Amino acid sequence: MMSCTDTRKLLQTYLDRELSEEEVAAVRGHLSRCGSCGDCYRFEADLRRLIRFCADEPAPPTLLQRVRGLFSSRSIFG
Amino acid sequence: MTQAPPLLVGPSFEEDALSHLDALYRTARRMTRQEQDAEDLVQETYLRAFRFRHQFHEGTNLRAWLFRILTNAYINLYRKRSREPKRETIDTGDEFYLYKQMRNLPESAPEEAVLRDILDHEVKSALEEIPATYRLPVLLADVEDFSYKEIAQIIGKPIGTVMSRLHRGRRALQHLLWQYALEHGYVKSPVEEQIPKKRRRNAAVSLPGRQAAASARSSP
Repeated sequence: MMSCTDTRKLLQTYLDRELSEEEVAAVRGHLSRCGSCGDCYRFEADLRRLIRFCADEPAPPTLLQRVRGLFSSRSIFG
Repeated sequence: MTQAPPLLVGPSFEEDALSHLDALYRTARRMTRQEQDAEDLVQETYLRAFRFRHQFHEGTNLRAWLFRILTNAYINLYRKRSREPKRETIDTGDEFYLYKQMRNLPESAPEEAVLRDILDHEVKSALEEIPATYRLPVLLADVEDFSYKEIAQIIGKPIGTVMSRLHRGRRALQHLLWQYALEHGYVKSPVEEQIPKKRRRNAAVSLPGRQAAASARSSP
């Protein structure tokens, strides 16, 4: 079984979904058995969800109008 | 002779490109830190995209292509005049800084509770305080869900550079969030007097719906 140290080294890359299949299996195996690394993983995953959620900010409707207006006025599809 | 992939032009290109407006805007907003600048940057991005639309080939990644244009426009037009953060980001600690700080609290506060107390605008401010070089990869990875390879193409740097900037950016973000949590009393520094659990719970800012909405997002 993979050690805690090795698991932590791979944890952010695991969350980034950038590990090989073998590494993913090793990390998953460790996380299912180690409470401490499991806690750390859940915290980091929650933090990422929080960041993604908080960073969301829809474009103002006026911007969509501006961009559409820009294209039609410049006839760039002409 | 191989045939070039068909060019995607006309109204379909326009509509496909406009479907990424919100994503481009939220990135521009965090990069320029100003509403008006963000709108101007997005407008400039679309202007360039349509001007160079013949360079885009259908079947390739339109979203990443638009973000590359946004990145170049930002560097050309805004980077020099956007003031860098006042607060110095601490370049120490590791990628689990925030988690470790919380684990070290004298009285164990559930880590999830601390995350719940941090407000939306504080996360936005913390993101904006990361130096721009590191902020962009964090936004592209953690908010826009681009792969390392896509980010490398967007910022025009090798994957190794993307990974190291991402690492530093996230570390800075965790430091900044910890500072917000301390400054706003969501956590007490280990050296300060402990507050009773009851008061801490009462002080918690409840954000109904936020966690549920956040949890609805996909996880790996």
